[in-house]
Amino acid sequence: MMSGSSFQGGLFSDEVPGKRAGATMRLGVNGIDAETQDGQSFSLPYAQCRLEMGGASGRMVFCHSPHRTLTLFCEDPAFLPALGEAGRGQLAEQVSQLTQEVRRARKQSMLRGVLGLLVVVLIGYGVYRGFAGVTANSIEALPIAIDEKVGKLAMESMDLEGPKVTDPVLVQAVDEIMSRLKPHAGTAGMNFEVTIVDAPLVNAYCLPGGQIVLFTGLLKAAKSPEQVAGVLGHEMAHATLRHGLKRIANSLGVIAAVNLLLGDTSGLVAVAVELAQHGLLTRHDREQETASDVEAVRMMAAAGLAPTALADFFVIMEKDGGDVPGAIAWLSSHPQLVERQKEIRQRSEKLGAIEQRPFKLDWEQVSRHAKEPGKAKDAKP
Amino acid sequence: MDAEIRNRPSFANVRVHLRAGEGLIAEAGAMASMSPTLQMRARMAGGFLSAFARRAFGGESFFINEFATDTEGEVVLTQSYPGDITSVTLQGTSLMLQPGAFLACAPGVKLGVGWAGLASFVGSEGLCRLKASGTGQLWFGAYGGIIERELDGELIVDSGHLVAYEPTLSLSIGLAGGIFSSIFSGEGLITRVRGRGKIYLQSRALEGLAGWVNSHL
Repeated sequence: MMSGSSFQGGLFSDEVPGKRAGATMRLGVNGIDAETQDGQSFSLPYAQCRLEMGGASGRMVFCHSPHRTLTLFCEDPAFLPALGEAGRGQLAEQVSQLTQEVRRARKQSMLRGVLGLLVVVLIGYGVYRGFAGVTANSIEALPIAIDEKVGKLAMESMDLEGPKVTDPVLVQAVDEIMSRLKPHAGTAGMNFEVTIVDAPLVNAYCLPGGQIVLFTGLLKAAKSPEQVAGVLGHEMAHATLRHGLKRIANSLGVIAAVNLLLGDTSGLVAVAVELAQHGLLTRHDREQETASDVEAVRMMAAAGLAPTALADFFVIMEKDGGDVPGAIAWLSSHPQLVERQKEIRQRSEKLGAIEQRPFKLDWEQVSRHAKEPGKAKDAKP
Repeated sequence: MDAEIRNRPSFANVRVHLRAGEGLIAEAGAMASMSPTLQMRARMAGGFLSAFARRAFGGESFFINEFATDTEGEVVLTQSYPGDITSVTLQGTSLMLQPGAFLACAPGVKLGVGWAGLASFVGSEGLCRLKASGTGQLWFGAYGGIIERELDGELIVDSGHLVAYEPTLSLSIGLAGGIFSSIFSGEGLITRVRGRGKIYLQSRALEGLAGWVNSHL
């Protein structure tokens, strides 16, 4: 805006060299007066003026003469309101209509923008899921030997957070639990090995290939061998469902999918070690936790054990979590316990009555040894 | 100031002869040769924010070179890719330039950045345009030949062929045909240009060359 009712803009006319020129416009009493830089003057009466909005910015106001022999244009935001007031409101109706059209166009443009963004997000999500699907399928096609190699390397690079336990009472108890579960594992030929570690952590985790780490803190917290069986079944399921490898492949993204399709697993192994060192290899998402719960329920039922024992262990963690030292480890790596309990109980009910064959272990003795591995003294029979 | 565009259209370059007291603004890196009587000074166009906007959104350099002389001399300017160069004289008017098209201008031409809209971004034409306005001569280049058209109506332009246009024209992005045709015809998205004003197109698209070369690697 120049001063008062003067605006900087331009005009199209056959009378100027090049048919266009920059111009200064003034809103007079009867019409718009325009003067080019060369001093050529033009006048467009309000009564003959036809307004239009457009241009590259969408905010340029065009004032056309009846046969479009003269077109004045201006992008100044104050130009349109000033036109509405100029010439005793002769253009007020056109200005009002144009303003409404502009508002409508802006709303439509915004709606299109939002819809466009939504479509882009949906397509992006679809592509991501598509690659995730390709990755998952590629993992399923890999031989178990890859899982074992990854698990072995990860185990070597991880800090166990305590000494390995050789207490025969604990080792035999865990062996007995595992011998009941192993025949019902979802994948045949996987070598499950449990390493008991003396640490107050109420936790257990399984590496690819079946390397399970079980802390004495969990053995102390569990009220029955069936509860430990539930946890071990859940961890075995992570291995049989190959969650660890999928976790690594997802970290590698699209490249992993392509490499795996080409049979190149070197990147997978390298990332496994990296993730293991940061404690991320054994962290699973909600979907994987639920899938492992479901698989654990199936294994427990097949082994003649009450599948609800896993849900019962979750209750202990939930109620006494604050009182059980180290329970935070399980809670942090196994979230949403309440919902998972419900899921486990519902699935157990659907399986109907099963012929239960409880363990004949002296659990009090196991708990005592878990408190002091290798030192606990048992009463002589 | 006298200027001549030479070696057109494939390897065009501009020779500008400056007299005492005259000046020229050119894109950084555009100078091919210059007389020792000219002084060249690099500066940010319109201050830091304006220069940043030019670099980030206008696809141009952060700095521009200013040529001046107390006597006289000449400078030869080129662009980094083969193609034609053209000039327009702004008389209080404006011209929107695609990223990378600007070559040089007279000191009376002001360089800014104009919003091109999301539709332009979707059509691979960028979010912003360099906007040249004011008074004086402006040079810009293209990949391939430059086609100048006076438009009063509508024109459909394939993405990547637009070089410059007057701000009186509006642009919208659309599909070249139906969804099937747009994908399999190789045309994809097109730019629909409407209104009255001048439009400058390039006869070749750099993306087209890049795609062709890539398919042979």
